[in-house]
Amino acid sequence: MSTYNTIILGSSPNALTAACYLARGGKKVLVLEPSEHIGGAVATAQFADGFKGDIGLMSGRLETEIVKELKLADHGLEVIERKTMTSLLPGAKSFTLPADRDAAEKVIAGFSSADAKKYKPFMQLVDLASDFLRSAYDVTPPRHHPPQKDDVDTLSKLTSQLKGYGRREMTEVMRLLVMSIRDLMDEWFVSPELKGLIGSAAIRGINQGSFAGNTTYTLLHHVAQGDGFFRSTAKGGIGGLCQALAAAAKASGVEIRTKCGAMSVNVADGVATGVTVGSDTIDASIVISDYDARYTFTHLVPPPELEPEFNRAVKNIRYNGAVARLNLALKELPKFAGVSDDALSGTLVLAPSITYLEKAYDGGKRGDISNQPYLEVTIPTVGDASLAPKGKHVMSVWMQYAPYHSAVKPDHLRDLVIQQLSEFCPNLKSLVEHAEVLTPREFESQFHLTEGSLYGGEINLTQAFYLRPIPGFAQYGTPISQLYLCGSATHPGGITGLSGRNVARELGVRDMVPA
Amino acid sequence: MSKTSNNHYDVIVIGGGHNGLVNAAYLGKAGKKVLVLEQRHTVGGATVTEEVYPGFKFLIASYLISLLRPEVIQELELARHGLEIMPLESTFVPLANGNYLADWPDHEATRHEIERHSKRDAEAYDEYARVMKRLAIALRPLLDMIPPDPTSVTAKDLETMARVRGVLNNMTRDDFHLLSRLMTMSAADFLDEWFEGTALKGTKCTSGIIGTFMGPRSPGTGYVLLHHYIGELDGTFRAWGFARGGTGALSQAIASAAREAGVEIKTNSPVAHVNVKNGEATGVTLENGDEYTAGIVVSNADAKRTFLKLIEPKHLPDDFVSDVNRFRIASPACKVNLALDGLPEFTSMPKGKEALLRGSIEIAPSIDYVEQAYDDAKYGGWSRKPFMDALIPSLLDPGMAPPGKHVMSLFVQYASSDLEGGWNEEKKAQFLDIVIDTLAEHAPNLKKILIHKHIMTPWDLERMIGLTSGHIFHGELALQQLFFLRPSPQWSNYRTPIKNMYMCGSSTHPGGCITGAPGRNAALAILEDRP
Amino acid sequence: MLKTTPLHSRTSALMQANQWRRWAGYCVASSYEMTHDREYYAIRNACVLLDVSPLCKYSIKGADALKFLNRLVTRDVSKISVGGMLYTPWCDSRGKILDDGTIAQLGENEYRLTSAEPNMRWLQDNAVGMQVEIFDVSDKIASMSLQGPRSRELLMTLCNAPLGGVKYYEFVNTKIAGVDVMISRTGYTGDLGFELWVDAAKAEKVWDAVVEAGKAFALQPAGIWALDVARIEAGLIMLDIDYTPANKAMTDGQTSTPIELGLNWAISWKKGNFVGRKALLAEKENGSTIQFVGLEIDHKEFERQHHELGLTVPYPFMAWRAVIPLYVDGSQVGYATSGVWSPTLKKYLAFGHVQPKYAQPGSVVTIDLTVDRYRRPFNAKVTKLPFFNPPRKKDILGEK
Repeated sequence: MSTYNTIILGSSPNALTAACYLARGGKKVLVLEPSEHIGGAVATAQFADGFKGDIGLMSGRLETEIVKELKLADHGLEVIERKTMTSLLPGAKSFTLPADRDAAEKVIAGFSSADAKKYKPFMQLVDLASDFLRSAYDVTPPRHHPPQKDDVDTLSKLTSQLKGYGRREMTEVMRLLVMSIRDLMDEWFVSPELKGLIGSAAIRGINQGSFAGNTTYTLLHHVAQGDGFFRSTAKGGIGGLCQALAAAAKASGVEIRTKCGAMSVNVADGVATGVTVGSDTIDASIVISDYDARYTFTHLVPPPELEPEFNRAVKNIRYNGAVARLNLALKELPKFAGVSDDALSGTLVLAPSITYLEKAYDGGKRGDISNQPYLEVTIPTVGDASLAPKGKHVMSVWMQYAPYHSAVKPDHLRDLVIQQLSEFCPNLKSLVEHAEVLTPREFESQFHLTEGSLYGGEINLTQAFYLRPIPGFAQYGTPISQLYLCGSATHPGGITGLSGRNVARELGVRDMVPA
Repeated sequence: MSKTSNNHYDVIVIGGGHNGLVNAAYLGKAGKKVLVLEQRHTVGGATVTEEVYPGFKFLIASYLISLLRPEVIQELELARHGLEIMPLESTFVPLANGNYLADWPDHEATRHEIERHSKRDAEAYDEYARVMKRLAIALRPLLDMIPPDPTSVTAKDLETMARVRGVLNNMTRDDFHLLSRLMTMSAADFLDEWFEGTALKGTKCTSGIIGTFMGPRSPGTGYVLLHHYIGELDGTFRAWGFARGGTGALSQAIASAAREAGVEIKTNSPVAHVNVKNGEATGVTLENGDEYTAGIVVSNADAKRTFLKLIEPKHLPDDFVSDVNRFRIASPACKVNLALDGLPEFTSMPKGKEALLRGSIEIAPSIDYVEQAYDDAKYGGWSRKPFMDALIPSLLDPGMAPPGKHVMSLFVQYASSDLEGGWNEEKKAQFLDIVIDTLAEHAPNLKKILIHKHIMTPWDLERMIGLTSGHIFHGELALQQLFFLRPSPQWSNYRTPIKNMYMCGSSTHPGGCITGAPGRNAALAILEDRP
Repeated sequence: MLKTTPLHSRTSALMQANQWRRWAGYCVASSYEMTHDREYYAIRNACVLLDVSPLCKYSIKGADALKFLNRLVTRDVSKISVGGMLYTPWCDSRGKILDDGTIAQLGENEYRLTSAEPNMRWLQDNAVGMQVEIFDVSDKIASMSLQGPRSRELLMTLCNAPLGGVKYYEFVNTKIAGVDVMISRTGYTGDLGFELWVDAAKAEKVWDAVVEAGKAFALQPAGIWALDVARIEAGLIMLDIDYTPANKAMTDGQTSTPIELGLNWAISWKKGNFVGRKALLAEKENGSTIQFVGLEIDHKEFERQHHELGLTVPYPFMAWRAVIPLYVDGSQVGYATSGVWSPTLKKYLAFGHVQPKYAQPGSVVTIDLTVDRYRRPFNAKVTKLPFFNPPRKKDILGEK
């Protein structure tokens, strides 16, 4: 039996990124994935005969530097850009916003000249703020309080970036982080439909409404991760990211086992010594969990190994999965009234106003599913025919709010979503050959995502930077010596691979680009 | 009126609210010749006691004193000027199931009371109270600070920034982390981490939403929770107090201190506009056309009223005007006063515990109740079952009502300042009925003993007192408009883009409540510039 | 609104001086008589009965009960078996003491924990992931403490239990006046003594039986003032007085560790991990910054100075609870937290917390005491604890 230096439990893009860099740093790495798909919930799987659908997230981008450093294009990564956002409006109306800002300005001018004028300045401010976040996401958060030398270095680099923006811009960026998206939209725009479309990214994936404080942070987070307004996926679906990373990892000598069976971390006297997988014990000097903190510290490590204060902190993490995902197998390409065929390769969004989003949440916060939900729809087969039998299509839907604590009936959810979309695509129901419904409960039971959170813990300001995943443990280490976290649960959260690269750096891998 | 030396002052303060008076008193004490101009017949602004019906003295706006800076009481010798604060004795929360939750200044009494609902909570409560105290102690120095501009590199700002960092660095790592979380989370989430009891969380969460147009589940309310906790630090425990004679008596005490310091106060003198010449404030013109000149003009009015109504925009930079425009000031708070022919009888108040009527009575049985009250109002409506914080001032100070009669003061949320279709007398009456019906569910004899009823909606607070949108804090206590961002980045140090013009109201740091801090801090800023 | 104990009907009937106090939210006697001296002397010379019902009591049951307790507290709970008890402190993960109390093993996988403060939340948070059930039985079980050299004889007239052979920190189950009683050889006086644990509803019956039988043994009801004198003589620390529980401290500086409090003997390093072990191990290796000590204050000099001024000596008969600075060469090296005149030893005793270099027995620090309205320094000599430790505390009948 071979021995490993590092064992990684889970195979999200962060886990695979960590594996690649660690292997490059000379470590012998084993990646264990209990499900059949590499990537866990970040995978694209067959859900009906010949139809493939994304399981969890339906868009996402790997950090550009990581793509380059790991030469992922050589390992099969083909990025598919979604260049438009189409807002579905009451009365079967819509407008399509292109990624190109000049073109977008023209579209907006069609309904509000005031907003058209402000669009580019607004996007420039968002660029500044998200660039700032992007820099913060590339580093390990400060360790000490008051800050010590290494922390001061990190912080002063970030501060000088902010200062470089100029005095006015600097405070504007700082304000953004704590604002509710409603307040931000009211400051900039007048047309409800533009506010709704842009603002929707601020509540994507969280169980909060558009009136809630700090929601702008969530929007900036998505933008900083390249997954803000105009998004992307990979050839073969979101799972394509993991396929390319896995190929790169294998090429660097990483061993990956799927369907590995039940896993747990072996701990002796406060030190992780390896893992038990199925009935096997595998020793390793470093164990890395790709899972969220709650799952890791209640299932992979027995709580009695941890201090009660830490267990309290684990209990206090907000997960609040509120997203349901649908994959519909369609007979043919659906027609959306007034939406061009081109726009079907982009993202369709049902978020006609900020108030609509808040109302959708009103049920969500009480544990009810929204009757007027926030929806995002893509038809990945428009850009990637490999996902469905010839001539047929897959429609992928993101639905909020379907909170974890609600009694969601999958059939009800499917009917609700189809009914909502039928206003824009009247014959949708007759096109559906098969429907897959995944609620937070399924995400938890099938993929060990606590409360079905697709981000390993809600993306909000209270759980960001030095507070993610747990205050005092934001540097990827855990109270168990030699046990680390690398998943979306850690700073910065998401599937860009930055968490994985940050962990590798913490573990001593210095040269990200091999000689 | 021609300009004579009689009409010239060192400082003119627009508005005789409590902060305006504090500001004037400090400047007067520093030897300045100060004039306070108050539009109404009496000073105090929102800090007034009014005999709306003969014999019944109503707290038509503010009703409790909690965060009044001890420095202000000491330095202006307010006790000598007649200020007497009586601590509130208890809180009583009637519950729908006939039960109740109470708290008292005595720690063990409260602990036993909480234990009646949950033993675990009683233990957690001790630790919670200590943690909140620790954070409040740590943050308190920031209240008395003239906020720095973090983008500035002047020696003064750098030094203040260093002091801010010092305040934070003095905290332990755990407390710093907790503070970071509390500042960004919702009151409900924070309380959920500590407690299991519905009623306890209900009453505690209200500190996070008072005067704020947010629900307890909205991030940002955690900060407001802490903001109100700072008030509990003074005195041994729970310094929420009632001023004998009502909050108006506080204004009178400050006015007395101001007059003693040589300050001239003119009531019935509404200011029409600030006179600006070459970017400098030179004085004010009253609505009746009278002009007064001064070397310095200070506005106690909120930022929107000051910079959008009293000053022509052409005198202000565009960025600043847009900052003032975007300043959030939508208000959810109403004030109801009732004249009563007896005491309300709460069905859930146990025999022998009638002394609980002397404290505050809160209709906030759960977080869900308060959140629903918010949800009802947030799209331009009002709560069908509002949250209320009631007080019977005549039990503490019998002079507030004729013998044998009582007055009851109710702070009520939520009723939107931006009511759909706008406020009018009919809607006022409708909402007043909702308030009385809601209270009568807990105290069924209420309607029998009701003699007079009176409501101040956001509409009335704006019309009568001049608070934009009726906002009792002169603008939301949202994170994006606190400290160095209040009311506008770069202009949080009580100074304004107009030379010789200052702000001293609650639109400035540290914000609302009867603190006197903006008035005092502004005086310090003015004296820095003009010793 | 203070709570009363299940024995309040009895204690209030005996109360002569109306001297009550609060203990954990309960109303208990400070002293039944006008002064507490007879009550104290009875502890050392006859026997006393104390109502100690305000103690918090928790029932801990389940397959992981031992594992749970061994993780919670600093001592090794596996060292006791059914019928055994131990005293132990417990800490937070920084090794800062939270509380101290006793653990009794009642049966297979069944224990009872006592504490000074409510601990339910902490216990529950320590039980995450373990098969253990925790019940707060504080209100269900009354406890009375029968202390003093004649306590055993007295009890033996009331029950058939073989009390002669019950060792220090052991217990037996028996009946008194037809009521089930657990009698443990424990107490807070450092003397021969027992604690009686009984169903709260039937506690009065047991109290009455003990008081009745006690007439032949000069039994005295006693309050906290007398107990306070005895516990200082016995070198026993008190929560809130000699240490601040970590969860009550406003600053880190206010916290203590068991090592600082001289409870090294109550820490088991070999039993495996427990809450705070890592921090305590580091303290053990690196040394503590402060050390709990016994002090004997130079009372002779105190007397002399009073006599010189023509004054009688104000003996500190009542234990004081205050923080008083301790000095060496004029600079403060620590502080005292409790002190009292020991009527048995005829010494002025105190508890101090001093820098380790002054913690050796024989070291001398000074403490300021008031002599006729002026503070004056007096020597206080570090002394081994306990100050008073009679053989009868642990003796077994029939053994020499």
